[in-house]
Amino acid sequence: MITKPFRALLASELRQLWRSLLPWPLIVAAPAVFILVGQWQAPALERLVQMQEPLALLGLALGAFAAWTWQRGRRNGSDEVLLAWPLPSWQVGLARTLALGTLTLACWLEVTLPSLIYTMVSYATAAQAAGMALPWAQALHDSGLIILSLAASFLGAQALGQLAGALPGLAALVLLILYRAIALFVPRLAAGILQWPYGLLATPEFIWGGNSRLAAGLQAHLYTGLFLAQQGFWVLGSLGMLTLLILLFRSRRDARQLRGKLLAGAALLVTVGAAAPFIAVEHGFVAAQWRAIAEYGEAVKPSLRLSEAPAPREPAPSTPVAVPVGYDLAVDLTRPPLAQVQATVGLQAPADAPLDALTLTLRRCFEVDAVSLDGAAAPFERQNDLLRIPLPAPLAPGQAVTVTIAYHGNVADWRLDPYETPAALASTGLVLLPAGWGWYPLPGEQRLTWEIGMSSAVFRALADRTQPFNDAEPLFDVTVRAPSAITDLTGFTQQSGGSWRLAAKRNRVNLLGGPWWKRMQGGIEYAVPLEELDTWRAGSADLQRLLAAAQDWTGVAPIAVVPSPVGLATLDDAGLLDETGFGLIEPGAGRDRALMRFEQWLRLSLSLPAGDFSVWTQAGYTGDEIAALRALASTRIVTDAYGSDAAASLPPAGQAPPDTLVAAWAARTPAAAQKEALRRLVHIAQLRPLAPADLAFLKDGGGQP
Amino acid sequence: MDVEIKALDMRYGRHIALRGIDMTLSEGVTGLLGLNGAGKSTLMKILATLLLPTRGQVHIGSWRLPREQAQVRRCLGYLPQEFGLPGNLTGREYLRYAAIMKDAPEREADRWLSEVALDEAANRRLGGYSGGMKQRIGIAQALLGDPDLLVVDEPTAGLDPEQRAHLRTLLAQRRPGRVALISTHVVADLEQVADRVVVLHKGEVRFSGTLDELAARAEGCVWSLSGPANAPRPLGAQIIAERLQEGRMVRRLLSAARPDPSAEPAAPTAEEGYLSLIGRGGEVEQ
Amino acid sequence: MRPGRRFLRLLAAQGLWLRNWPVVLLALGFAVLPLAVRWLGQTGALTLAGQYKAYQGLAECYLPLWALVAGAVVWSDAEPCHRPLLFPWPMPSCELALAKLLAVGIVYTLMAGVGALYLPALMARAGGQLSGGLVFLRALLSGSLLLALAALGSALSMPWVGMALGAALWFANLEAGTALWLDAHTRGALHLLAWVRGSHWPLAQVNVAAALAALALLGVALAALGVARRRAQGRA
Repeated sequence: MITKPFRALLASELRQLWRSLLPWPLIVAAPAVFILVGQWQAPALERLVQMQEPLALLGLALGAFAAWTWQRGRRNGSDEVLLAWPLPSWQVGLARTLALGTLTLACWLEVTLPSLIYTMVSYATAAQAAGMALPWAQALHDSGLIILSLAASFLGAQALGQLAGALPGLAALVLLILYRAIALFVPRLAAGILQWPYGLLATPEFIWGGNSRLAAGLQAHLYTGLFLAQQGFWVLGSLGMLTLLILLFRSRRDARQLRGKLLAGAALLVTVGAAAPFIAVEHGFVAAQWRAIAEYGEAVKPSLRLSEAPAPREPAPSTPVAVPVGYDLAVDLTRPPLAQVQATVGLQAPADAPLDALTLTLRRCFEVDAVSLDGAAAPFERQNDLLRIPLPAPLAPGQAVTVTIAYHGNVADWRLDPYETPAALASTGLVLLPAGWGWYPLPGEQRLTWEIGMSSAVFRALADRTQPFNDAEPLFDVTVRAPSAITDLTGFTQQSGGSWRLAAKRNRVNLLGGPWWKRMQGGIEYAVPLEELDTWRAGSADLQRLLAAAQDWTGVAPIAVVPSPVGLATLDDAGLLDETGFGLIEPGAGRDRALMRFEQWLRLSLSLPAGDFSVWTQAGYTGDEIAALRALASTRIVTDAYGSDAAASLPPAGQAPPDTLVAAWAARTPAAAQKEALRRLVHIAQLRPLAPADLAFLKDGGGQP
Repeated sequence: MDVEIKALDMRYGRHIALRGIDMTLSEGVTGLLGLNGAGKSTLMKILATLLLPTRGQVHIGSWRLPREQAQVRRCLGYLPQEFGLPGNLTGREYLRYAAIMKDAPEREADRWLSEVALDEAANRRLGGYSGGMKQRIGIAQALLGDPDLLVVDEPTAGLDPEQRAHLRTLLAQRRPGRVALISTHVVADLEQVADRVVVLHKGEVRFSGTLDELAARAEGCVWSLSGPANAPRPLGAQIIAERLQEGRMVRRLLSAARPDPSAEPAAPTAEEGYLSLIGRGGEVEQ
Repeated sequence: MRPGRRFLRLLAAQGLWLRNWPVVLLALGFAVLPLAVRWLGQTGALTLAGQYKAYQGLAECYLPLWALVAGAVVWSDAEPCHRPLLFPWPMPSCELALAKLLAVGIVYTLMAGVGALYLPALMARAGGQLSGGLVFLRALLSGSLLLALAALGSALSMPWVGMALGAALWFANLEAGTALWLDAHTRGALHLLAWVRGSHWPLAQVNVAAALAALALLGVALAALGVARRRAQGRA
């Protein structure tokens, strides 16, 4: 195939390409993106995330150049001459594609090679800070992801560009722009309804930019399989597309030739076919989620109807609920996803009513092995999330009983939206069991609420907070045996045998652990991933001041800063924001981002279902008193931390029309009283959803909720 | 209206495209001849206000270029040698758009579509037109608005003989006050329509006069030679035409001296006069 | 012919260039989208918040893309290969440029107004204070900037460059860091998503800055064709 004419043609194409002015800005831009964009202290994968948006623009420019080059011969008429020569047409296409490929390769190398060096150096310094050997597996894993991601981006750009170049003139550029624009948003919109079009609609950068939670999950190594599928599709699909475009070059001899039409049809089939592995992985993922839903909750068939936030359930007045006195939990998570629990719960009949049976809520995924009452085996009934234990004799008001329950089950509970986060997970690298998910028995018939809707909504997995238990603070003694990769279980202390223990009076206990390294600074606990250990951004002075101010204004203590593989919205839904547990904040890449995320945290802690606007209302929506209080709190905290100039430059979450009620209250209330009011509101919000009555202080002269 | 060009120079960097051009174009049709690179298109672009000359003056009627180019454009009809047409418009749509741009009534678009014999294809997209059809559309847009100055560069390129004849008729339509300048490589086209002809060579005017005067330049230099079919070509003579006729090779030659004892003198044509002016290798024969 | 009538003819004739399949398809899509959002709201698939955010996105984020595409496509007759015919025509450059910009502007204004019609009813239910006028202005101003960039490139014989500039501004605005930097340093003039994302400045100020920037760029675009014409005269 590499005949002299082909070599001459390839040389000609290369000359035309590299003698032109246009490739050189791309050659300069590629390393410039690496040098100028992203934080130099960030872990390699996170830095890649930060580079993705400028890289996407670079990809658009590369695609546009590829389209323009592919059109060039038709535009200047030289293709007509070329195709009349005895050289096979596909060789003309191949030469042009290879010539463009040199530009693609150059851009790819200019970003990939420095990224790989950066990865190795980053892990080397982190390992030194942790006092361990270089984690080659993790470093090579991240390097591989970087290589694949960048290859998918650049190769995809060339393939898309050459495909668009089949259209004449400006139409090619229009197609490229619209494709990129649509691919940023449509997959997210479609995700709630249609799962598989990701492979065909999304661009390779979508995972990073269009769905940052997947990117965040990838940094925690949760979604590698999905990532490989999508990026792999882009690499293979791009190569397939380029091959077919080369073969289709012959159709320029006669566009109406049957062979050309057949090849065009084949091109479409191959592209769709290349998505098959990705679609298969997607379907597998979604099917697993559906199975999980069926196992864990009340499965609701997804439809276009989005149910509103459920009204709080009224407790059944005729069924008294036991009051928890203490919990002794022994949890074995060493064989993920299996969780084995031995729960000894001290319960007391309510002061005003006897109890003839114990009604407990325990996630239905757990199979109850045995139940004993005060040491004696007891019968029990299990129905969905309920565990009912008839008492041999009714308990008098105030009388106590100890119930021991042994149960086990698989904990792998995902949300329906693909690439979202786990609601509960026990894996080798992550332990996430929120209290409200029901991993330990909760007194009463707690509703574990599920809502399934479009991608703009999320599941709610909250225990019904109107139950009396939610105000109680029993003594928890929890021992957890976790997989060896779990180096930090937030709020727990590691024991000599390697297990983790927490003993404290709490309202609830959440398990959140990962391969993190614990550092304490300024009374705040930081869980730092290995990749960040050498720079330990979480310990930066700026964030320290912010957290101290936040603690002062909200009263949430202690605060633990954890890398969140799950996203803050999930944590809120999972009920992890807890005044006696810890407040969770995602450390931001820079001050601005820390501010934005911090504001989100406040929003979540003060959220309130009100009318048609549900708890997942995004920060952009404004117009109610809570939003105004949120903005006020943000301003006060930022002023305390950084001064009034920083507060003035806070990006407002949408154009919030000033709430006159809150403004008037703030104007007449001293700062100390404002602080106290906000602290009380946060405290209430941790226990139950805020009610309008809690905000009455804004209108009263008192100034306190 | 007359067009007066005085001491016109056009320079592209170090390359001199036109040098000291002095000419006057009067009412009627003037043909412009010259080799490729002689400067014909450059001169036409200057008259069409597409280029500004480096030096010299151009008066078109009472207007002077480049100061009054807006006025010149209002009475100008121009067909360039190479041009693009928007492929997604029909012929009728395009001509109507051109009529609007030239501030001419839109009904003229339909009239000129008929004149260039494109009625049947008027509602087809320009992208589907043949080269000849595109050329005719180009001519139609040049004639829209009944311009006083018509500058047409290679108008018969791509046309078949019938279309060329028709076009010659169109371009030769006399209208009081119209000055038409037509450049072509096909001298025969000019023979039918041009009142005068100008020959450019290496950016300079080499000849300006009637076609008969041009033909006279080759007086005594054109020969007819008949010989055996395998007779060798005579040396030192430029062969203008050569064909087999009844088994004998009949040649028409251009030479200052009799190329062969059996050669007979022939009456020169304008084309032969042009060739003798330009000469073999582009050198001018004095 | 009287200049006014001549200009109106020229303005109407620009429809020939806008009659282009990407432009028409996009226009139809954007005309239908608000209806689709409303329908999704009525079926319960979108909450009020969702509808609100959809209109926001449509007005500030997607609708301006139509202006970008149309702004480049309307200059089809001014592409380099067509200039040998276009430049000798007597139509003044400014007049032609104005007709093209106005033609796109008129259609775009109508499209921008459609989404704004739904806002008052929506906000009446939600109790908010945002007006249809605000939606309309944001769409208009964001689109005007992109239209001006596309027109500028096209008028200077670089349609791809103009469109690429507009696309670069649009994509750059999608990234929060870049957008907020633009917001801070241009008083919101180049922050296309000031309403969706929020701005350092009150929205009224942002609108004024955006209007000034758009007018300036449009003014340059108006003059660009004449500049291109004169530049072409100076060289082969």
